[in-house]
Amino acid sequence: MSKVKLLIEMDGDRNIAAAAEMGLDASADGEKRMRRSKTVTAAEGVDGVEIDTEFGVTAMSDIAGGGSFAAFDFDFDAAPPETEEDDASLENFDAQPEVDECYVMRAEVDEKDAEKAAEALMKKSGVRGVYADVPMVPQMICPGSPPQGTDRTVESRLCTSALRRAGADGDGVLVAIVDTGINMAHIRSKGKNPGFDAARSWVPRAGLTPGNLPVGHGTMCAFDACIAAPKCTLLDIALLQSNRTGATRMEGFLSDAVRAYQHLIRVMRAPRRPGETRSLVVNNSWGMFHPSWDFPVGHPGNYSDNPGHPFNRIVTTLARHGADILFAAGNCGSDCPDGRCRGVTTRAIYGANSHPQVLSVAGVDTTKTRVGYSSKGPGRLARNKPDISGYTHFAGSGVYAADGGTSAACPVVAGVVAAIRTKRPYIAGNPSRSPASIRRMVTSTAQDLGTRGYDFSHGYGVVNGCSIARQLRPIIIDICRLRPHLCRPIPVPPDICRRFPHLCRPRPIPVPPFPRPIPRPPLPIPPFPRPGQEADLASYDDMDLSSGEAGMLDLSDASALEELSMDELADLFYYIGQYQALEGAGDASPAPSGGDNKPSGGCGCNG
Amino acid sequence: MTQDQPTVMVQFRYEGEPPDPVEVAKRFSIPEEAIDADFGVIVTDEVEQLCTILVPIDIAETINEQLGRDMPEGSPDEGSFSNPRIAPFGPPED
Repeated sequence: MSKVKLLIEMDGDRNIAAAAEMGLDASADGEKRMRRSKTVTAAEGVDGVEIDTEFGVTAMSDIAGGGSFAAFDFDFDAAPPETEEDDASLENFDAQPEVDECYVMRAEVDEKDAEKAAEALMKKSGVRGVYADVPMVPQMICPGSPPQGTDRTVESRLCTSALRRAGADGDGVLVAIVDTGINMAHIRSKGKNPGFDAARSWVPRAGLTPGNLPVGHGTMCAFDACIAAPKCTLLDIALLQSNRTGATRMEGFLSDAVRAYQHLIRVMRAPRRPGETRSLVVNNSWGMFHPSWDFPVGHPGNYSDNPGHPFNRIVTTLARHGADILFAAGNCGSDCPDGRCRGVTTRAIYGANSHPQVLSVAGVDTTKTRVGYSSKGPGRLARNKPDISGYTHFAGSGVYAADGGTSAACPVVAGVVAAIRTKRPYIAGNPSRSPASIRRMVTSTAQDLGTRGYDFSHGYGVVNGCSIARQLRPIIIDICRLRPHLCRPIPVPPDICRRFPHLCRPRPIPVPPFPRPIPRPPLPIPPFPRPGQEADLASYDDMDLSSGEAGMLDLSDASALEELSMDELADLFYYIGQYQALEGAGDASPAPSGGDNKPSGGCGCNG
Repeated sequence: MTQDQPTVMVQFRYEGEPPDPVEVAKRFSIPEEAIDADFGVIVTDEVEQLCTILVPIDIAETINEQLGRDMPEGSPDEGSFSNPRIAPFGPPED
């Protein structure tokens, strides 16, 4: 007997609210709270109804469209919060009124009993409605599909606010758009205001002005890179400016790319301006559509499968210089490939687009569903390609109806990489700042899609700005709260100057005009040590300093010294001087650390 | 070299400093004007000391013979390589 699923809309109570807050992953606690609810118990009491505890309970306000059931999102993501809306809904949970909240849970029932069960459920207290949970197949994006969402949706998916709060916004990072050229005026007219460096841009021939090229594919890519890296500095590397007679669309030759990469290597090697980092992110939303464009596989001069090809070599060289290089995977996905693929959809990630030292980017729409034209792996140079998925096919730059293709997915991820580089700038020789470590960070934080773990459709999953932002947030450890004994002021014994003479060297302090010599009351303890007290003095060496048992002089707190009046300071130094004189100020005891007579950090003696 | 003439990239090893187009022309006994002046001589792998020029296919064959590209002992890193056209992966076309 086949089963059908029912969605039960119900009032909230404290237990349901708690279960919903715990999420949809049906933790044991969540299930317990769910079963404590009277509404859930009543629903379970209906003959043949089995509550789906794995589905859990969902607050309708967490679902797109708020409390409107008509807008229920059947693809609601069951993963932990991955967008700003998800985050916000959890953060604000406590502040939301409980009584008016509406929740939904799922139940299973035999198909023949479904109608009767629904009627019985409707009679239960707290149940607002019962609906069929119809199986849905997501609509796949294909060439010509209308845009899904906008660049704002992508911002939300990438948690750009969280990235910015973590200080990751592309500031100080160069982003080279290797493409058809950029039109900065258009990008600014669309509300993005990145930096632009004309001097370090490149055009393949005279007569082209970087940053002022016709609005087209390159401008779209530049706009999309600014979604996650609004403060990056763009370089216009206008590679795809055909110089062939009769060319009908923006195209180029791979030799132009070799020239462009030579320029980028020079950029990486050139001295940086003051305050600049060495971070360079290189976006490549281009490639080959068909193997016939290349020498055949097996030919020694082939590009697609040959790591020794000059372009694949120079990609390695640029990566070795520390650039983060991203390539779009291509638009030859088997479900609905670009017409230029001419039906070739297997092993369609050619040449550098599958280079082991680049991030190869597949495309998903804003619902995290793979777009049908996104090329699938394996790659030709490295097998596990693509590496990662980025968002595409959304309304954004205004250059096209949709910023589409893996062309748009690639700069979306490039922007995230640039944002990371603001916080983790490239430092030559530091393995944690290498391009490989950034690739690892991007792939290891990705939200897994498709089959569990790596797959040839999505790579390691969709780029996850939320998770990256969490990794980039500075770790603040309140050491004094966790380990209070480390932060107790350490009392300093009176023989501090004998043991650490460098701390007690008299230092010039500004003293206002004062009658000299300063009249001093007789010292309480000269000479020191007094006869018979040598043993007491020696015992200081073995004393438990943390115990404070001897009423010691605390010099660890500089602010305490600042509170002393000039008279009191003079008294203190007079005392120290007297003590030094008695002990022999020239006694060259070794400094406790370093031995360079520098005051120890944290000690108030250093004035 | 005319713009529409089919070209290939030729990669070869150098010793010491990367050569300039004049030195390359002399080394392979080819006319200097056969080497694409805009492309010049580009170091593609400084570790392996490989550089690349852009030349018409017939000139590349002359160089291949000298590099022993078609010989069994020829280096797979040296010789002529394809110069395919490339295009943006822009909004996909039907």
